[in-house]
Amino acid sequence: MSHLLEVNNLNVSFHTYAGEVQAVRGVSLHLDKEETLAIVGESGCGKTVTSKAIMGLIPDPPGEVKKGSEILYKDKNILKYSKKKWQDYRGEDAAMIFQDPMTSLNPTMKIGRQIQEGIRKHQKISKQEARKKTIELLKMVNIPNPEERLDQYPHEFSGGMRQRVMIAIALSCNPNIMIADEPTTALDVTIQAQILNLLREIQKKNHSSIIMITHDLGVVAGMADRIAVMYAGEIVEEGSVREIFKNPQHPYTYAMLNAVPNPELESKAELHVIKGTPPDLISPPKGCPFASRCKFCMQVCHEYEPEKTEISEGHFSKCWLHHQTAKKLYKFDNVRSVMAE
Amino acid sequence: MNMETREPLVKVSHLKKYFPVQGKRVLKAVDDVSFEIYPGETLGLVGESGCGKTTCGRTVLGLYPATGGSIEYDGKDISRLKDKKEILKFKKNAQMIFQDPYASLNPRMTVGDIISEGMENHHIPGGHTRVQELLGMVGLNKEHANRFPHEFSGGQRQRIGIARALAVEPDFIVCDEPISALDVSIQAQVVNLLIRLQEELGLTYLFIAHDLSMVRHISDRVGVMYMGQLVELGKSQEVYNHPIHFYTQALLSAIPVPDPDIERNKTVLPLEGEVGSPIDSAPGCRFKGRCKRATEACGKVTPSLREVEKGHFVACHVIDN
Repeated sequence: MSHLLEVNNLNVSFHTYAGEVQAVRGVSLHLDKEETLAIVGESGCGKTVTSKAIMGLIPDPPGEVKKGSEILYKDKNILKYSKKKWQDYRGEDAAMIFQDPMTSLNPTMKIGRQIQEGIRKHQKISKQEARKKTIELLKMVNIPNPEERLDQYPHEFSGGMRQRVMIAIALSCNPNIMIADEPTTALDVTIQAQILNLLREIQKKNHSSIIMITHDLGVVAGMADRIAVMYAGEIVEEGSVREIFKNPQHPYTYAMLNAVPNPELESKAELHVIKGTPPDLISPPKGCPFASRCKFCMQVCHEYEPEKTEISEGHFSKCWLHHQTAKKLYKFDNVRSVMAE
Repeated sequence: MNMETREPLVKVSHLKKYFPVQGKRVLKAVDDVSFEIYPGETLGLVGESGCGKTTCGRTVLGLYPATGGSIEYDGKDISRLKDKKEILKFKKNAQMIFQDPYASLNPRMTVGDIISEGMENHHIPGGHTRVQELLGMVGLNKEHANRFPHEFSGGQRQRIGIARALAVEPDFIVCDEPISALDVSIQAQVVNLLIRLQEELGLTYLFIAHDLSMVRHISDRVGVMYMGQLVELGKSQEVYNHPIHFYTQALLSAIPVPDPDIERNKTVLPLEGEVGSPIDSAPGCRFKGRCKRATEACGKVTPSLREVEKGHFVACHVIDN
């Protein structure tokens, strides 16, 4: 069976004064119907650029989606779409919920008009009908008194409510794929819980798929079916939620899991940190991009890029440690003690 | 450590900070908050955005004049300090680390100038050598003194902010969301640094944050704020493991746990609605509108903090009965 969305060998670069920044380097991933895929990683690792490429929102120039990249939606390469076809695709097939609800809404437009914009463009319906539909959408995202709220401006809404409006905009044309770019990072935990619940409900109701971009591992644990861990523009590990949390294979993944404060950890004990900083993507390193920060780095890591190894079904990791000739000392428990040194 | 026998370094009693808003109304950002901070400890202050935790921190430092109540530092009421020398001494001893490392460093000053500015004002000797020493203390290189803030990443900038606060040899530092603008892996680095500096220099922290799991990690005691008032205060293990106030319970249950087995099976206590408006708020418990167990009494009298267990204070009428 083919996937709903398939990204093959995606390469995206940005041309800057300093040189060509290779933001995404050979990313391949897939998304099935009704599935939630989480992309996690530090800032600057290319997760947002990947999602923007899927939405066709890479500004060109300075951005450039390299030749050989493929994004298949229902088996059609959307990178070859015309402008008109892209417009049809955006909104109806895929929609994006942006990170910052404070800046992503137009402050000079009433909420109702911002939601209707997409509906009126994609569906041939009258103003009254569009208004009715907008009220329904606002009800769906639990905004009280939608009839009045419709004619208000974004500044009259709180952060959580603005994020709900963003979700309503994304939902307006019943997309098959919702891309949520850090949808709850700017919100308080209590509001975050409400928004995540809302996303889950909508997914069930509309049978849609979600690509969730976040750096909050707690959110991922509750939402995702599968996880892709990105580092320096590459996917370094990919697998089901359980596999990634319980049996992480890539040193970067376990370093990341370890950096979260653990309730069992003694108060004020030193947290595990990943020393150093990610490599500069203007001239990415020759070998494994994580090599300079990795505690298990071998000589080969600096020279050659590791290959994607299948650990178990659907669980891939890109690390030289999985090579037959590498030392076998790496079980997660083992790793914890090595990391603590 | 025996907390009872020691004198608190900072004693805040019935602190109020009101802001006038349009139409002769009052925004009660901090309303009758009392707490003590002992030397060498970290008091965490948590709550949703808009609950008044930042205002509280700034008022404690005297950055905002208090509307009512008193702040005693080392036994002296800081709002009554008349002697210029005394005021300067307090300002040297109490410092702040700001939330946004991008906005809180002057882009036109070199790192060396940023760090030494306070030293010059307070006539602290050492000059350039001291700046280099401070940079080393926060994990930066000596050479960084000649660079400008834009040449640094977020985590490095926050280190510069910490070095600036340390430059005048303070005893007490208010950390206002020092990590919320940073990446997860960088957050851990900065938290480690703050803990290490506390041990080495014997600092006292008021740590304000909305990241509850980090606050748990760094704090000895935690205060939970809701709409300008403290609703729960106690040892951090106590508050996190046995929260008593319904708001604290709901807040803690909403923290996502990075473990799929736990995260998918836990129950998040529903907390409907959002924080109400602190402008001209009605009397009574501020939380009553969102509280499932609110009774009639909650609408009449504002509950005050009461010691439920030893060292664990809660402000709630329902618990009292």
